[in-house]
Amino acid sequence: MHVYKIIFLFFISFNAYADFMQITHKRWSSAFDIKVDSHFTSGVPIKEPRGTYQSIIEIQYLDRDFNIHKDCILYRVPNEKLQGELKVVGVHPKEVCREKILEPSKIKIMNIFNFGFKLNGHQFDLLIDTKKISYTLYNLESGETNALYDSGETKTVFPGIFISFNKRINGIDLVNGDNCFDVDEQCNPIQRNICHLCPGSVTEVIADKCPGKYRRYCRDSICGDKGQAACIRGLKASGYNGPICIPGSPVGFCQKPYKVFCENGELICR
Amino acid sequence: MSFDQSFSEFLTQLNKRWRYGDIEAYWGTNNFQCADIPNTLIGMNPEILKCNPVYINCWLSGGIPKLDSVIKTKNHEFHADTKNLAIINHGDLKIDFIEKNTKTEFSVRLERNCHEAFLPEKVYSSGPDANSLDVWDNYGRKIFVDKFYVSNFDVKFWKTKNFSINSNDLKPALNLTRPEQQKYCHSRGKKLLQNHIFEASTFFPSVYKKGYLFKSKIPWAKSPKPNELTIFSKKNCVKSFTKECLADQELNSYSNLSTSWIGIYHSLGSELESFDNIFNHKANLKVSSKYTSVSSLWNMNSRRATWSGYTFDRDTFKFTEFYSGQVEDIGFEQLKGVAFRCMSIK
Repeated sequence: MHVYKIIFLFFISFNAYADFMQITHKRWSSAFDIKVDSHFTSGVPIKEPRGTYQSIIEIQYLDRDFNIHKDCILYRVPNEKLQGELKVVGVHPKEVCREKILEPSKIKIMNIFNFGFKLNGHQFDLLIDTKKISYTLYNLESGETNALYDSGETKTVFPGIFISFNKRINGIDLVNGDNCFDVDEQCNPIQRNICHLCPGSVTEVIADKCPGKYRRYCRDSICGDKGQAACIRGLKASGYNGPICIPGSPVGFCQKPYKVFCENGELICR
Repeated sequence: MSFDQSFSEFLTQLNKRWRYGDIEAYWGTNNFQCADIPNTLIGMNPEILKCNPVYINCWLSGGIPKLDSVIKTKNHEFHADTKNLAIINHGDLKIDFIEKNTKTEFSVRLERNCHEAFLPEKVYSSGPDANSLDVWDNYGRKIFVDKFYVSNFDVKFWKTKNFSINSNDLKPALNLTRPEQQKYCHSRGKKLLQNHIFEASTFFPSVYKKGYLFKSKIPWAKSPKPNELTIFSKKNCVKSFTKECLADQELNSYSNLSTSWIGIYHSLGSELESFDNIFNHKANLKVSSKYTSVSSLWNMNSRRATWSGYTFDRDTFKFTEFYSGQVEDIGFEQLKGVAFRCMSIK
């Protein structure tokens, strides 16, 4: 009887694993944005804090109409009493994964002892005990444009091509006003460049965090006009070294008769 | 061959056809039987078939007999659902596919940006003055400029999503007001080209030093050869397509005329071109064109007039050169409109 129980549990666990793989492959092959919680590091097993659910990764992907969806990858770190559990919760793209850690999910793997992940360019791996599930993130932009001969296609795995295996379900689009690229004080991206998903054009804004890298919004307006972002003169052209976000900042300029002001950490024209 | 390997090969084949178009030069021969693309077009230029949904539709529908409309790899066959081709955000093409053996269904979105040139990161300045105070740089910015004018095909396809090309389609779109030009560019995820970006793309490149940036009078050299801007020579029509050239060549959007250092065309001559100008909003019209002579004051870099942009009436144009104040009219009665192109930030 005990042997049957073990076989049964193995079968259940195998099915859950296979289902997990099948569902997540369909979804995440079309991922265009992936954010790892700052407490966790690629390649390092997650051992703490034990016995609690953690939001590990937020992943945004496209359906076959190229609308946006979001999954939270949540993990309960095992302790003496509780098993490790990996679950995937689909949320609205504007929702925060940390607030969804107690949501139930059918996409899950239980009885985990060790869990980690690796993210390297377009390659994403989940490391679950002795197993590895690998994903190619076809729609993730990764790579720089800097050559004279470069063309303007988004640097996805196949530049300029987006793919989705995912069924058509109600997703959202970016809208004008959405932030589509941003960096922190160390100039590291805190919002990966997803401006290619804007409904229209992109406007760059001079922000105070990282001189020389510009925040971007989905926005059709022209810079320099009243109430609009200041136009970019640039650090080298202005030869300026001081604080960026100040009234009259030489790094930006406005159309006459407007002047440069700093509002909410951004240079705008008033 | 695994599905993943086949899938990669399939995407490579699809991408090549999308980006390079009619590489076998079948257009104009019996091997090209696309009902929606005439086999004889005045001034036909295969450039229009790159990133072109009409061409891809023709190929995947079997209109090019020598090219298999099913994309095959060693173990897999990828069939397109040509009845449901869709134009989505930014004018990109969406195609649904099914792989026959595994019954795998998926969709592909192809970006329509085959005709863009990257503006290198440098210090530039706006206007014709080498000591201009309107200095700017694009370090940390990825700016791309359309190589060609927006064509009639582009505008017609934007408005109607009609999968066909006709004889008028290769010509530049000349009848949009500036707000309409802006709207078109926004629909493609871009902005109307700004004057200082056009100048940076077309001035012969130079290095900024201590407030000084050399400004060439022409795009193709630091300075013109003797008589190059006074006496017409037919061989110079590829450098600047002016009034004197008209007898020799039909002008279309995709002509390789007046190439600039970054690889955009129509730098000088060809059509009047409309810009937004963030430094001096009235300097918004390039007049050098097939309406002006080689010796015209307009036929130099950075010579700009003013167009209100709201209509094409005579009084909406002011042919006074913005920076010098010199006046030179053009044969306004012959004017067919104003061309434009877009730029994008990636």
